Amino acid sequence: MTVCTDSRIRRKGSGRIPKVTLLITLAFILKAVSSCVNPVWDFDFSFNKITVKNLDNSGIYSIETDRDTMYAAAVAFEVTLSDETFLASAVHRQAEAPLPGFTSVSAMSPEPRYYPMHRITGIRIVTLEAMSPDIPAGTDVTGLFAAHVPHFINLDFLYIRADELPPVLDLEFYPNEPSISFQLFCREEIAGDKAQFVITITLSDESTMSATTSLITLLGNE
Amino acid sequence: MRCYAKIMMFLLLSLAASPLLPAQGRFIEKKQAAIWFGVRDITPDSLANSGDLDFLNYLYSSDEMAEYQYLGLSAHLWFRGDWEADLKVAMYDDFAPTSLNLKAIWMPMKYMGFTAGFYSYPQLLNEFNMFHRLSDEGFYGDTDSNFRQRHIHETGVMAGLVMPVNYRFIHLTLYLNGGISALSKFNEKITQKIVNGNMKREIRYSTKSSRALFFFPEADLGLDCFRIGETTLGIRGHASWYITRRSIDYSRTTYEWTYDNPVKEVIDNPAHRFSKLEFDAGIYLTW
Repeated sequence: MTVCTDSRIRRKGSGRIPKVTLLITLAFILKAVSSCVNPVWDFDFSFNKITVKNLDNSGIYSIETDRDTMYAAAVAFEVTLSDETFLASAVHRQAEAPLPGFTSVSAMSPEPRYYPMHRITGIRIVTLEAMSPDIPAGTDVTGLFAAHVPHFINLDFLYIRADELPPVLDLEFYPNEPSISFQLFCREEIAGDKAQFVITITLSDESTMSATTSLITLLGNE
Repeated sequence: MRCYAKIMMFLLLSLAASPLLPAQGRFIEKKQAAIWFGVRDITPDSLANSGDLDFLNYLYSSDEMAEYQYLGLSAHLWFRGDWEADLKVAMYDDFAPTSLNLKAIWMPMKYMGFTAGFYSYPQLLNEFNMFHRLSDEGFYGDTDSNFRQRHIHETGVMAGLVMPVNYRFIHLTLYLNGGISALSKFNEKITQKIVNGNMKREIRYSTKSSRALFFFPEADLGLDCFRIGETTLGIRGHASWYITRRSIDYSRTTYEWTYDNPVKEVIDNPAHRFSKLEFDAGIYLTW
Protein backbone atom coordinates (compact mmCIF):
# COMPACT_ATOMS: atom_id res chain seq x y z
CA MET A 1 0.00 0.00 0.00
CA THR A 2 2.69 2.47 1.00
CA VAL A 3 4.65 1.75 -2.12
CA CYS A 4 1.52 2.40 -4.19
CA THR A 5 0.87 5.82 -2.56
CA ASP A 6 4.51 6.91 -3.04
CA SER A 7 4.47 6.03 -6.69
CA ARG A 8 1.20 8.04 -7.15
CA ILE A 9 2.84 11.02 -5.46
CA ARG A 10 5.91 10.60 -7.70
CA ARG A 11 3.69 10.37 -10.78
CA LYS A 12 1.83 13.53 -9.72
CA GLY A 13 5.15 15.41 -9.16
CA SER A 14 6.72 14.19 -12.37
CA GLY A 15 3.54 15.18 -14.32
CA ARG A 16 3.74 18.84 -13.26
CA ILE A 17 7.32 19.35 -14.39
CA PRO A 18 6.70 18.63 -18.12
CA LYS A 19 3.54 20.76 -18.06
CA VAL A 20 5.39 23.72 -16.55
CA THR A 21 8.27 23.19 -18.97
CA LEU A 22 5.81 23.06 -21.87
CA LEU A 23 4.11 26.27 -20.74
CA ILE A 24 7.44 28.10 -20.41
CA THR A 25 8.54 26.82 -23.81
CA LEU A 26 5.28 27.95 -25.42
CA ALA A 27 5.60 31.39 -23.86
CA PHE A 28 9.18 31.62 -25.08
CA ILE A 29 8.22 30.57 -28.61
CA LEU A 30 5.40 33.13 -28.67
CA LYS A 31 7.79 35.86 -27.58
CA ALA A 32 10.45 34.73 -30.03
CA VAL A 33 7.98 34.66 -32.92
CA SER A 34 6.63 38.08 -32.07
CA SER A 35 10.21 39.38 -31.98
CA CYS A 36 10.64 38.72 -35.69
CA VAL A 37 10.07 42.11 -37.21
CA ASN A 38 9.81 43.58 -40.63
CA PRO A 39 13.09 45.51 -40.71
CA VAL A 40 12.79 49.25 -41.04
CA TRP A 41 15.90 51.18 -41.88
CA ASP A 42 14.55 54.41 -43.26
CA PHE A 43 16.06 57.86 -43.00
CA ASP A 44 15.09 61.37 -43.99
CA PHE A 45 17.64 63.56 -45.72
CA SER A 46 17.93 66.78 -47.69
CA PHE A 47 19.73 67.48 -50.94
CA ASN A 48 22.07 70.27 -49.93
CA LYS A 49 25.24 69.57 -51.86
CA ILE A 50 25.93 69.51 -55.58
CA THR A 51 29.26 68.51 -57.09
CA VAL A 52 30.28 68.34 -60.72
CA LYS A 53 33.15 66.36 -62.22
CA ASN A 54 34.54 66.20 -65.73
CA LEU A 55 34.01 63.10 -67.84
CA ASP A 56 36.25 61.78 -70.57
CA ASN A 57 33.79 60.49 -73.15
CA SER A 58 36.15 60.08 -76.07
CA GLY A 59 36.01 56.27 -75.83
CA ILE A 60 33.07 53.86 -75.75
CA TYR A 61 32.40 54.44 -72.10
CA SER A 62 32.69 57.68 -70.14
CA ILE A 63 35.13 57.82 -67.25
CA GLU A 64 35.83 60.48 -64.64
CA THR A 65 38.84 62.64 -65.31
CA ASP A 66 40.69 65.40 -63.49
CA ARG A 67 41.81 66.98 -66.75
CA ASP A 68 40.14 70.16 -67.93
CA THR A 69 40.55 69.28 -71.58
CA MET A 70 37.80 67.71 -73.68
CA TYR A 71 37.02 67.14 -77.34
CA ALA A 72 34.65 69.79 -78.63
CA ALA A 73 32.07 67.10 -79.46
CA ALA A 74 32.57 65.19 -76.19
CA VAL A 75 31.87 67.76 -73.47
CA ALA A 76 30.44 65.77 -70.58
CA PHE A 77 30.03 66.05 -66.83
CA GLU A 78 28.87 63.98 -63.92
CA VAL A 79 26.72 65.74 -61.34
CA THR A 80 26.10 64.36 -57.86
CA LEU A 81 23.39 65.56 -55.51
CA SER A 82 23.78 64.55 -51.89
CA ASP A 83 23.30 65.47 -48.24
CA GLU A 84 26.63 66.56 -46.84
CA THR A 85 25.35 66.77 -43.27
CA PHE A 86 23.84 63.34 -43.20
CA LEU A 87 25.08 60.93 -40.56
CA ALA A 88 24.37 57.26 -40.74
CA SER A 89 23.50 57.24 -37.05
CA ALA A 90 20.41 59.38 -37.60
CA VAL A 91 17.18 58.42 -35.94
CA HIS A 92 15.06 55.73 -37.56
CA ARG A 93 12.17 57.02 -39.56
CA GLN A 94 9.91 54.44 -37.94
CA ALA A 95 10.63 52.79 -34.64
CA GLU A 96 9.30 49.37 -33.67
CA ALA A 97 8.05 48.92 -30.11
CA PRO A 98 10.80 46.96 -28.37
CA LEU A 99 10.05 43.74 -26.54
CA PRO A 100 11.63 43.60 -23.11
CA GLY A 101 14.26 40.93 -22.87
CA PHE A 102 14.30 40.20 -26.59
CA THR A 103 16.28 41.65 -29.43
CA SER A 104 14.37 42.17 -32.66
CA VAL A 105 15.52 39.90 -35.45
CA SER A 106 14.85 39.73 -39.14
CA ALA A 107 15.63 37.21 -41.85
CA MET A 108 17.71 39.67 -43.89
CA SER A 109 19.95 42.61 -43.24
CA PRO A 110 17.84 45.64 -44.10
CA GLU A 111 18.90 47.92 -46.91
CA PRO A 112 18.70 51.53 -45.83
CA ARG A 113 16.23 53.72 -47.67
CA TYR A 114 16.72 57.46 -47.78
CA TYR A 115 13.66 59.65 -48.12
CA PRO A 116 14.24 63.15 -49.53
CA MET A 117 12.57 65.95 -47.60
CA HIS A 118 12.45 68.03 -50.78
CA ARG A 119 12.02 66.48 -54.20
CA ILE A 120 13.93 67.34 -57.37
CA THR A 121 11.71 69.37 -59.70
CA GLY A 122 13.94 71.06 -62.26
CA ILE A 123 17.32 71.35 -63.93
CA ARG A 124 18.82 74.25 -65.85
CA ILE A 125 22.13 74.53 -67.64
CA VAL A 126 23.53 77.91 -68.64
CA THR A 127 26.69 78.38 -70.66
CA LEU A 128 29.25 80.86 -69.37
CA GLU A 129 31.14 80.87 -72.68
CA ALA A 130 29.85 81.43 -76.17
CA MET A 131 29.26 78.03 -77.77
CA SER A 132 28.82 79.44 -81.27
CA PRO A 133 27.85 82.78 -82.80
CA ASP A 134 24.20 81.81 -82.24
CA ILE A 135 24.70 80.67 -78.65
CA PRO A 136 26.33 83.48 -76.68
CA ALA A 137 27.43 83.29 -73.06
CA GLY A 138 24.52 83.36 -70.64
CA THR A 139 22.20 81.27 -72.85
CA ASP A 140 20.08 78.54 -71.30
CA VAL A 141 21.40 75.45 -73.09
CA THR A 142 19.50 72.76 -71.17
CA GLY A 143 17.95 71.56 -74.41
CA LEU A 144 21.39 71.02 -75.93
CA PHE A 145 22.26 68.39 -73.35
CA ALA A 146 21.42 64.71 -73.18
CA ALA A 147 21.60 62.80 -69.94
CA HIS A 148 22.27 59.38 -68.58
CA VAL A 149 21.51 58.15 -65.09
CA PRO A 150 23.90 55.32 -64.33
CA HIS A 151 23.43 52.29 -62.12
CA PHE A 152 19.91 51.73 -61.01
CA ILE A 153 17.52 53.83 -63.03
CA ASN A 154 18.24 53.85 -66.73
CA LEU A 155 19.65 50.74 -68.35
CA ASP A 156 19.08 51.78 -71.97
CA PHE A 157 22.04 52.39 -74.23
CA LEU A 158 20.98 55.80 -75.49
CA TYR A 159 20.52 59.00 -73.51
CA ILE A 160 17.45 60.77 -72.30
CA ARG A 161 16.81 64.45 -72.87
CA ALA A 162 18.05 66.74 -70.08
CA ASP A 163 14.53 68.07 -69.58
CA GLU A 164 13.41 64.50 -68.84
CA LEU A 165 15.84 64.29 -65.94
CA PRO A 166 13.73 65.66 -63.04
CA PRO A 167 11.06 62.94 -63.11
CA VAL A 168 13.77 60.31 -63.56
CA LEU A 169 15.85 61.64 -60.66
CA ASP A 170 12.90 62.29 -58.40
CA LEU A 171 12.37 59.12 -56.40
CA GLU A 172 10.26 58.49 -53.36
CA PHE A 173 13.36 57.11 -51.68
CA TYR A 174 16.98 56.46 -52.65
CA PRO A 175 18.39 53.04 -51.79
CA ASN A 176 21.77 52.57 -50.12
CA GLU A 177 22.93 56.19 -49.94
CA PRO A 178 21.43 59.66 -49.69
CA SER A 179 22.68 60.79 -53.06
CA ILE A 180 22.12 60.46 -56.76
CA SER A 181 24.41 61.01 -59.72
CA PHE A 182 23.68 61.71 -63.33
CA GLN A 183 25.72 62.47 -66.40
CA LEU A 184 25.26 65.32 -68.85
CA PHE A 185 26.46 65.18 -72.45
CA CYS A 186 26.51 68.19 -74.73
CA ARG A 187 24.87 67.39 -78.08
CA GLU A 188 26.59 70.24 -79.89
CA GLU A 189 30.11 70.31 -81.18
CA ILE A 190 31.18 73.55 -79.51
CA ALA A 191 32.70 76.04 -81.93
CA GLY A 192 34.80 77.98 -79.40
CA ASP A 193 37.95 76.87 -77.64
CA LYS A 194 36.62 77.18 -74.09
CA ALA A 195 33.49 75.92 -72.37
CA GLN A 196 32.02 76.40 -68.93
CA PHE A 197 28.53 75.84 -67.59
CA VAL A 198 26.44 76.53 -64.52
CA ILE A 199 24.15 73.66 -63.57
CA THR A 200 21.21 74.55 -61.35
CA ILE A 201 18.89 72.08 -59.65
CA THR A 202 15.52 73.21 -58.32
CA LEU A 203 13.88 71.42 -55.40
CA SER A 204 10.23 71.18 -54.42
CA ASP A 205 10.62 73.90 -51.76
CA GLU A 206 11.72 76.28 -54.56
CA SER A 207 15.28 76.27 -53.27
CA THR A 208 18.08 75.86 -55.80
CA MET A 209 21.55 74.39 -55.81
CA SER A 210 24.12 75.41 -58.38
CA ALA A 211 27.51 74.16 -59.44
CA THR A 212 29.89 75.65 -61.96
CA THR A 213 31.99 73.35 -64.08
CA SER A 214 35.67 73.98 -64.44
CA LEU A 215 36.76 76.02 -67.43
CA ILE A 216 37.19 73.42 -70.15
CA THR A 217 39.77 73.75 -72.91
CA LEU A 218 38.34 72.27 -76.10
CA LEU A 219 40.16 70.17 -78.67
CA GLY A 220 39.20 69.72 -82.27
CA ASN A 221 38.49 66.24 -83.59
CA GLU A 222 41.40 65.99 -86.05
CA MET B 1 10.75 24.12 -83.53
CA ARG B 2 12.72 22.32 -80.80
CA CYS B 3 9.52 21.13 -79.22
CA TYR B 4 8.37 19.51 -82.47
CA ALA B 5 11.82 18.06 -82.97
CA LYS B 6 11.76 16.49 -79.52
CA ILE B 7 8.36 14.99 -80.21
CA MET B 8 9.72 13.58 -83.45
CA MET B 9 12.72 12.15 -81.64
CA PHE B 10 10.43 10.52 -79.11
CA LEU B 11 8.42 9.01 -81.94
CA LEU B 12 11.58 7.74 -83.59
CA LEU B 13 12.75 6.09 -80.40
CA SER B 14 9.30 4.61 -79.91
CA LEU B 15 9.43 3.18 -83.39
CA ALA B 16 12.88 1.81 -82.76
CA ALA B 17 11.53 0.04 -79.70
CA SER B 18 8.52 -1.32 -81.50
CA PRO B 19 9.98 -4.76 -82.33
CA LEU B 20 8.86 -5.62 -78.86
CA LEU B 21 5.31 -5.07 -80.02
CA PRO B 22 3.40 -7.38 -82.34
CA ALA B 23 3.32 -6.32 -85.99
CA GLN B 24 -0.15 -4.83 -85.48
CA GLY B 25 -1.79 -7.08 -88.00
CA ARG B 26 1.01 -6.25 -90.39
CA PHE B 27 -0.14 -2.67 -90.80
CA ILE B 28 3.58 -1.96 -90.68
CA GLU B 29 5.16 -4.63 -92.82
CA LYS B 30 8.79 -3.71 -92.31
CA LYS B 31 10.74 -1.29 -90.14
CA GLN B 32 14.20 0.16 -90.16
CA ALA B 33 15.97 2.17 -87.48
CA ALA B 34 19.37 3.76 -88.02
CA ILE B 35 21.98 5.87 -86.31
CA TRP B 36 24.53 7.87 -88.24
CA PHE B 37 27.10 10.61 -88.11
CA GLY B 38 27.58 13.23 -90.76
CA VAL B 39 29.10 16.47 -91.93
CA ARG B 40 27.43 19.41 -93.58
CA ASP B 41 29.07 21.98 -95.81
CA ILE B 42 27.28 25.24 -96.46
CA THR B 43 28.48 27.38 -99.32
CA PRO B 44 26.93 30.82 -99.54
CA ASP B 45 27.52 33.45 -102.17
CA SER B 46 29.22 36.43 -100.61
CA LEU B 47 28.22 39.68 -102.27
CA ALA B 48 30.03 43.00 -102.08
CA ASN B 49 28.95 45.17 -99.18
CA SER B 50 26.50 47.89 -100.04
CA GLY B 51 25.33 50.61 -97.70
CA ASP B 52 23.05 48.13 -95.93
CA LEU B 53 23.89 45.15 -93.81
CA ASP B 54 23.34 41.92 -95.74
CA PHE B 55 23.05 39.15 -93.16
CA LEU B 56 23.55 36.42 -95.74
CA ASN B 57 27.13 37.63 -96.22
CA TYR B 58 27.73 36.33 -92.71
CA LEU B 59 26.26 32.86 -93.11
CA TYR B 60 28.85 30.62 -91.55
CA SER B 61 30.74 28.16 -93.67
CA SER B 62 33.97 26.41 -92.87
CA ASP B 63 36.25 24.21 -94.93
CA GLU B 64 36.78 21.99 -91.89
CA MET B 65 33.00 21.64 -91.48
CA ALA B 66 33.69 21.55 -87.75
CA GLU B 67 30.63 23.53 -86.75
CA TYR B 68 28.24 21.51 -88.83
CA GLN B 69 28.93 17.92 -87.74
CA TYR B 70 25.84 16.11 -86.66
CA LEU B 71 24.55 12.93 -85.13
CA GLY B 72 21.32 11.53 -86.50
CA LEU B 73 18.63 8.97 -85.90
CA SER B 74 16.19 7.76 -88.45
CA ALA B 75 13.35 5.37 -89.05
CA HIS B 76 11.89 4.05 -92.26
CA LEU B 77 8.55 2.29 -92.19
CA TRP B 78 6.97 0.19 -94.91
CA PHE B 79 3.21 0.19 -94.45
CA ARG B 80 0.71 -2.23 -95.86
CA GLY B 81 -0.09 -1.20 -99.41
CA ASP B 82 2.19 1.20 -101.25
CA TRP B 83 2.95 3.65 -98.47
CA GLU B 84 6.20 4.33 -96.63
CA ALA B 85 7.43 6.91 -94.18
CA ASP B 86 10.98 8.15 -93.79
CA LEU B 87 11.81 10.14 -90.66
CA LYS B 88 15.23 11.62 -89.95
CA VAL B 89 16.29 13.71 -86.96
CA ALA B 90 19.79 15.12 -86.50
CA MET B 91 21.52 17.30 -83.96
CA TYR B 92 24.68 19.35 -83.63
CA ASP B 93 26.95 19.13 -80.60
CA ASP B 94 24.33 20.92 -78.51
CA PHE B 95 22.20 17.74 -78.83
CA ALA B 96 19.17 19.78 -79.75
CA PRO B 97 17.32 17.75 -82.38
CA THR B 98 16.76 20.62 -84.76
CA SER B 99 17.43 19.05 -88.16
CA LEU B 100 14.35 17.30 -89.49
CA ASN B 101 13.63 15.47 -92.71
CA LEU B 102 10.22 13.85 -92.67
CA LYS B 103 8.69 12.27 -95.74
CA ALA B 104 5.63 10.29 -96.69
CA ILE B 105 6.27 8.09 -99.70
CA TRP B 106 3.75 6.58 -102.08
CA MET B 107 5.05 3.84 -104.34
CA PRO B 108 2.47 3.05 -107.04
CA MET B 109 5.26 1.58 -109.22
CA LYS B 110 8.11 -0.69 -108.35
CA TYR B 111 10.87 1.68 -109.38
CA MET B 112 9.26 5.07 -108.92
CA GLY B 113 7.11 6.82 -106.37
CA PHE B 114 6.17 10.20 -105.01
CA THR B 115 7.16 11.93 -101.80
CA ALA B 116 5.85 14.82 -99.77
CA GLY B 117 7.34 16.08 -96.57
CA PHE B 118 8.82 18.64 -94.26
CA TYR B 119 12.42 19.75 -94.03
CA SER B 120 14.26 21.95 -91.54
CA TYR B 121 17.84 22.54 -90.49
CA PRO B 122 19.68 25.24 -88.56
CA GLN B 123 22.67 27.23 -89.73
CA LEU B 124 24.80 29.90 -88.17
CA LEU B 125 25.09 33.61 -88.74
CA ASN B 126 28.37 34.78 -87.28
CA GLU B 127 29.78 38.23 -86.59
CA PHE B 128 27.38 40.18 -88.77
CA ASN B 129 28.30 43.20 -86.64
CA MET B 130 31.58 43.29 -88.59
CA PHE B 131 29.65 45.10 -91.30
CA HIS B 132 29.18 48.08 -88.99
CA ARG B 133 32.67 47.85 -87.54
CA LEU B 134 34.17 48.07 -91.00
CA SER B 135 31.82 50.44 -92.74
CA ASP B 136 30.84 53.02 -90.12
CA GLU B 137 33.95 55.13 -90.02
CA GLY B 138 34.25 57.51 -87.10
CA PHE B 139 32.09 55.25 -84.94
CA TYR B 140 32.77 52.46 -82.54
CA GLY B 141 30.85 50.18 -84.92
CA ASP B 142 29.41 47.92 -82.26
CA THR B 143 29.88 48.67 -78.59
CA ASP B 144 28.85 45.12 -77.71
CA SER B 145 32.12 43.22 -77.51
CA ASN B 146 30.49 39.79 -77.33
CA PHE B 147 30.91 37.34 -80.19
CA ARG B 148 27.78 37.69 -82.27
CA GLN B 149 26.26 34.40 -83.37
CA ARG B 150 22.76 33.17 -83.94
CA HIS B 151 21.07 30.12 -85.36
CA ILE B 152 18.65 30.62 -88.20
CA HIS B 153 16.40 27.82 -89.32
CA GLU B 154 15.69 27.00 -92.91
CA THR B 155 12.25 25.37 -92.87
CA GLY B 156 10.20 24.20 -95.80
CA VAL B 157 7.71 21.80 -97.29
CA MET B 158 8.68 19.66 -100.23
CA ALA B 159 7.45 17.13 -102.73
CA GLY B 160 9.17 15.05 -105.36
CA LEU B 161 10.01 11.72 -106.89
CA VAL B 162 11.58 8.67 -105.33
CA MET B 163 13.38 5.93 -107.22
CA PRO B 164 14.34 2.83 -105.21
CA VAL B 165 16.61 0.14 -106.57
CA ASN B 166 17.07 -3.08 -104.62
CA TYR B 167 19.46 -5.76 -105.77
CA ARG B 168 20.17 -8.64 -103.39
CA PHE B 169 21.82 -6.95 -100.34
CA ILE B 170 22.15 -3.51 -101.95
CA HIS B 171 19.43 -0.89 -101.49
CA LEU B 172 19.77 2.40 -103.30
CA THR B 173 17.11 5.08 -103.14
CA LEU B 174 17.22 8.37 -104.98
CA TYR B 175 14.97 11.27 -104.03
CA LEU B 176 14.40 14.34 -106.15
CA ASN B 177 12.76 16.83 -103.79
CA GLY B 178 11.79 20.41 -104.39
CA GLY B 179 9.76 22.83 -102.37
CA ILE B 180 9.39 26.18 -100.77
CA SER B 181 11.17 27.22 -97.60
CA ALA B 182 11.58 30.21 -95.33
CA LEU B 183 14.30 31.42 -93.02
CA SER B 184 13.33 32.02 -89.44
CA LYS B 185 12.81 35.66 -88.56
CA PHE B 186 14.94 37.36 -85.94
CA ASN B 187 15.70 40.71 -84.33
CA GLU B 188 19.15 42.17 -83.81
CA LYS B 189 20.47 45.34 -82.28
CA ILE B 190 23.69 47.24 -82.95
CA THR B 191 24.77 50.00 -80.58
CA GLN B 192 27.30 52.58 -81.70
CA LYS B 193 29.13 55.58 -80.36
CA ILE B 194 31.06 58.19 -82.24
CA VAL B 195 34.79 58.36 -81.58
CA ASN B 196 35.82 61.43 -79.56
CA GLY B 197 32.24 62.55 -79.29
CA ASN B 198 29.07 62.11 -77.27
CA MET B 199 26.75 61.01 -80.06
CA LYS B 200 25.30 57.50 -79.71
CA ARG B 201 23.25 55.51 -82.16
CA GLU B 202 21.20 52.34 -81.89
CA ILE B 203 20.19 50.34 -84.95
CA ARG B 204 17.51 47.69 -84.64
CA TYR B 205 16.94 45.08 -87.31
CA SER B 206 13.80 43.05 -87.68
CA THR B 207 14.01 40.55 -90.51
CA LYS B 208 11.12 39.42 -92.66
CA SER B 209 10.18 35.91 -93.54
CA SER B 210 12.26 35.12 -96.59
CA ARG B 211 10.55 32.57 -98.81
CA ALA B 212 12.36 30.83 -101.64
CA LEU B 213 12.14 27.75 -103.80
CA PHE B 214 14.66 25.01 -103.20
CA PHE B 215 15.88 21.87 -104.91
CA PHE B 216 16.96 19.01 -102.70
CA PRO B 217 18.12 15.71 -104.23
CA GLU B 218 19.12 12.90 -101.87
CA ALA B 219 20.64 9.46 -102.21
CA ASP B 220 20.36 6.67 -99.63
CA LEU B 221 22.55 3.60 -99.89
CA GLY B 222 22.12 0.60 -97.62
CA LEU B 223 24.13 -2.62 -97.57
CA ASP B 224 22.75 -5.58 -95.64
CA CYS B 225 25.59 -7.19 -93.68
CA PHE B 226 24.21 -9.78 -91.26
CA ARG B 227 20.91 -11.46 -90.77
CA ILE B 228 19.88 -12.85 -87.41
CA GLY B 229 16.43 -14.35 -87.57
CA GLU B 230 14.09 -11.71 -88.91
CA THR B 231 16.52 -8.87 -88.21
CA THR B 232 19.09 -7.53 -90.63
CA LEU B 233 22.05 -5.39 -89.65
CA GLY B 234 23.52 -3.17 -92.31
CA ILE B 235 25.56 -0.10 -93.00
CA ARG B 236 24.16 2.97 -94.63
CA GLY B 237 25.31 6.10 -96.33
CA HIS B 238 23.38 9.17 -97.28
CA ALA B 239 24.26 12.19 -99.38
CA SER B 240 22.19 15.24 -100.19
CA TRP B 241 22.49 18.58 -101.85
CA TYR B 242 20.30 21.55 -101.09
CA ILE B 243 20.27 24.66 -103.18
CA THR B 244 18.21 27.79 -102.97
CA ARG B 245 18.42 31.46 -103.81
CA ARG B 246 17.14 33.95 -101.32
CA SER B 247 17.68 37.27 -99.62
CA ILE B 248 17.16 38.44 -96.06
CA ASP B 249 15.07 41.59 -96.16
CA TYR B 250 14.38 43.56 -93.02
CA SER B 251 13.07 46.71 -91.48
CA ARG B 252 15.69 48.90 -89.85
CA THR B 253 14.98 51.43 -87.12
CA THR B 254 17.71 53.90 -86.25
CA TYR B 255 17.75 56.00 -83.09
CA GLU B 256 20.26 58.77 -82.51
CA TRP B 257 21.04 60.30 -79.10
CA THR B 258 17.66 59.38 -77.57
CA TYR B 259 14.79 57.03 -78.30
CA ASP B 260 12.78 59.92 -79.73
CA ASN B 261 12.20 60.33 -83.46
CA PRO B 262 13.36 56.98 -84.86
CA VAL B 263 14.09 56.67 -88.56
CA LYS B 264 12.41 53.58 -90.03
CA GLU B 265 13.44 52.04 -93.33
CA VAL B 266 12.58 48.87 -95.22
CA ILE B 267 15.60 47.27 -96.85
CA ASP B 268 15.42 44.75 -99.69
CA ASN B 269 18.71 42.97 -100.13
CA PRO B 270 19.92 41.15 -103.24
CA ALA B 271 19.31 37.43 -103.46
CA HIS B 272 22.17 35.04 -102.66
CA ARG B 273 22.58 31.55 -103.98
CA PHE B 274 23.57 29.17 -101.25
CA SER B 275 23.96 25.45 -101.22
CA LYS B 276 24.41 22.75 -98.66
CA LEU B 277 26.09 19.42 -99.12
CA GLU B 278 25.74 16.61 -96.60
CA PHE B 279 27.34 13.22 -96.16
CA ASP B 280 26.56 10.83 -93.37
CA ALA B 281 27.13 7.19 -92.62
CA GLY B 282 25.97 4.77 -89.96
CA ILE B 283 24.35 1.47 -89.25
CA TYR B 284 20.80 0.22 -89.47
CA LEU B 285 18.61 -2.55 -88.29
CA THR B 286 15.75 -3.80 -90.42
CA TRP B 287 13.09 -6.19 -89.20
